[in-house]
Amino acid sequence: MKTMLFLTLLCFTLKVTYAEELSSSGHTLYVENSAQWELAKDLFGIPFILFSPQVNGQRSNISFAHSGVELELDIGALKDNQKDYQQNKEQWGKTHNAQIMSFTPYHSYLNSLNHRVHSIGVIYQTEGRTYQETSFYTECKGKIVFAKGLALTQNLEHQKYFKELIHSLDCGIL
Amino acid sequence: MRVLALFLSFIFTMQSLPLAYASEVSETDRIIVSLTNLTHNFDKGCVPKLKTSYTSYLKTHGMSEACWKLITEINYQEARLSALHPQLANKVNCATGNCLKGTKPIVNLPSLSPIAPACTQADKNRISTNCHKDMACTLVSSVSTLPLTNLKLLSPQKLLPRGMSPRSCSANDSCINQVVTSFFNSIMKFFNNAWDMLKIAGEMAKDKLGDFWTWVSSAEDSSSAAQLALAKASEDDGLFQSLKNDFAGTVSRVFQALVASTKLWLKEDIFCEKWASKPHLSKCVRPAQGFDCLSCKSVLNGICAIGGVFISEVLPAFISGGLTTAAKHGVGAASRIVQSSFKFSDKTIKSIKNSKTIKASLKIAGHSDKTAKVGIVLSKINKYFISPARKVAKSSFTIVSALARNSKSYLAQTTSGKYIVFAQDGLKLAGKVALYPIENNMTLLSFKAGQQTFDKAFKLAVPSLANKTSVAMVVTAHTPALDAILTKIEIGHIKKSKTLALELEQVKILQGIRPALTRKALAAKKPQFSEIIRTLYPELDYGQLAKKLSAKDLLLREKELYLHLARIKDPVLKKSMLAKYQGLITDSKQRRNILKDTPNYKEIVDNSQLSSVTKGARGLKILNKHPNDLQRKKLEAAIRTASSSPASKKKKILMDAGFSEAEAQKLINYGITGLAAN
Repeated sequence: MKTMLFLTLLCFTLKVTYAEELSSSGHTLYVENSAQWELAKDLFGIPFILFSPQVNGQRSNISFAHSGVELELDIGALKDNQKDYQQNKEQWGKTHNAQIMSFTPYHSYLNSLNHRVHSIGVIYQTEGRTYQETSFYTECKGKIVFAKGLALTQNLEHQKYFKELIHSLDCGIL
Repeated sequence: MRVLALFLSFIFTMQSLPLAYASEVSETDRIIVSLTNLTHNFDKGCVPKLKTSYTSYLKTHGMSEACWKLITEINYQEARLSALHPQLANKVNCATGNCLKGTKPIVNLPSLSPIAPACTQADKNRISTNCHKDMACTLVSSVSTLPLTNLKLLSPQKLLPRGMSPRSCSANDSCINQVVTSFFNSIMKFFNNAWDMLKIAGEMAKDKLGDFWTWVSSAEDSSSAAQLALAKASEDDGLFQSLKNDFAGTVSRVFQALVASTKLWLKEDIFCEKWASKPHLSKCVRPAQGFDCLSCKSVLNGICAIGGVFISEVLPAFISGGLTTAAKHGVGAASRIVQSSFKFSDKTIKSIKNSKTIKASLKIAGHSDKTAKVGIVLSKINKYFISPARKVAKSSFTIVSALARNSKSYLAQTTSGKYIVFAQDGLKLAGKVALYPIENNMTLLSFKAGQQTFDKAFKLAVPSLANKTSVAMVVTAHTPALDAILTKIEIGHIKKSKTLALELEQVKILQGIRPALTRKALAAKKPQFSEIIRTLYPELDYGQLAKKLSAKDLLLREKELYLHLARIKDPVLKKSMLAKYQGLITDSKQRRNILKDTPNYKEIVDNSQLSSVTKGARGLKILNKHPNDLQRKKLEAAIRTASSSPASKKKKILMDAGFSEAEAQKLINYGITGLAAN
């Protein structure tokens, strides 16, 4: 009986990965950091950043932050107004020596724990390298949790991993 | 900026040199530095920025003992200054502080030649060598004035070169402070502040926000720049590790590189005297003269003159384009940084180039590096006497003196210190206040800082309690016996004397009536959590009273209060109360000292509501267990299985998976396996 129970538990755990606890100012988030990327805290005031191993000369990174903003987002308005996001990125490109190549359209979906995620992105070139940046705004118990992934376009696996992390995002204790 | 412009205008009209002796110069310098700090502290900490007169504010808020001491110290230091320079007597005695008409200087300063002096190669080398010390000092002096900065992260030891003491750094002027503060905010809090606008928009919108992308543009911009900088930094593992593990420690080097880059940019771009072909787009073949003779601090003065552009354009471009190079190579990378990051619109270049203040301040700064210290000290006197901070301090002194002469004075003892107040009615001091009428009113005017405290200077009559809260009013109206005891306890708290015996008496009175009183208190107008604790749950302050009670009693009180809060119908009030419960009870250090790691009821409820995926991770964290991967997966799976099993089987499931009996019980007690067993 004990062996049976152990085997059942083991089968169940095969799918389970490494839950990374991100705690800051009494708030706690969890993401399944299965690839065990390196965690750094408080760089440039960003509470958490996960870094990939170096691939193609760089480490990709994804930031996480409780924005502290209480807001319900309107999918229709976000979709209709995504030009605002694009214009802002064009402006950012001008002041940061980056050339905007294309945009990833706005997308809204529910993650594995039923939290609503709003994503949008941009591809830009700077100093001869091309980057893909994706912003994820997750509605967590009425509050907005911000995440942004940045990777070289050739590091496709990392782009996929950003989505996996957001898919597993548990709002935990807010 | 207006003060800076006025200051510069004085320097242009300098004519004679009245100070003769070095000892007087250094004494004057010390007094002026002290006065500048004192008035600055008074201006920042003693009166708010008001559109109307200070008289009504001081009448209703009074003045704290600390502020009164600042004012008397200012008077004392000005008297010393006046003894050194008799020509200042009229200005010192000008009680309103509004002593300066127009732009006429109080003390004349030495004249300066309009032609920049040549400096020797030895001078240039000295300037270059001292640059990193100057900049580190500038950082230390500015950062220590920031009330919001985490000083642990930015300790002088981290910013200053080894062996250098913070005492060898003199205070910066407000403009340099502003530039340095902006630099720090940009680097250390680059991202945090980005949400402020969205928070405001969220509160205004209440419901759904249509133009969301516009409101998040600031957060988007800063995170994009920061993450790009980090991605670039990760190309060099040594640099990446130093940024990751000692972010604050790299700031000093980055700051030096920023100033060096700005100096080079001004010299070889903005003020380039001859271009190979098209200005700003070709090579500068004749850089501006004299820049190598400018100290780094002088360049900062120049940057002050273009503060707006520097903060809004130069800094953001530097962070994404030059920060990692600066962190890696320091000042040596100035040329590379300028090429990669200092790219601005024609409009910006034109506005800096045509700025009279930057030209003036750079030229003057260059001279002042070689000018006798006497000139600098005299300019400081002028600057001090026209400073808005001095005006505020002197006006306040005059008003308070008049109030003391003409009305009844009280010593108000509050939790934030002692105050002199002048009107019992309409008094606007926050929190609990014990008012002691002052019987020897005129003593106030002869009070001397550093010699006496208010208590020793004044004869005080019998106290009374002011500012009763809505909760206290409701509770004491229902149970008058609590009124006297709460007043005695409050005065005890304010005086920081022991109140245990009084609190035990309070608990005795509360026996049996606490639930009814809590319901009434929560229904009062704008009830405050701290007041609920003070009046009804004094043991949850986790002070001496809590130590006298059993853990079981304390846990019962916590659960009782939590259930009261969970039943509040007003969602805004409920949320705010539960947040305070989290901060003052769940996260309280005092509680941990008494109850060790026993969970409170809110923690148990929160843990029980976690998703099954994360219960495992939280459970292992609570047990402080760090098993290997395979073992961890097994233990986490057991936690999930136990969560969905009946209470009677939970412990066995956990123990079968490898948890000890004590660990299994702890997980159950913490609500990790559900609320049912609690």
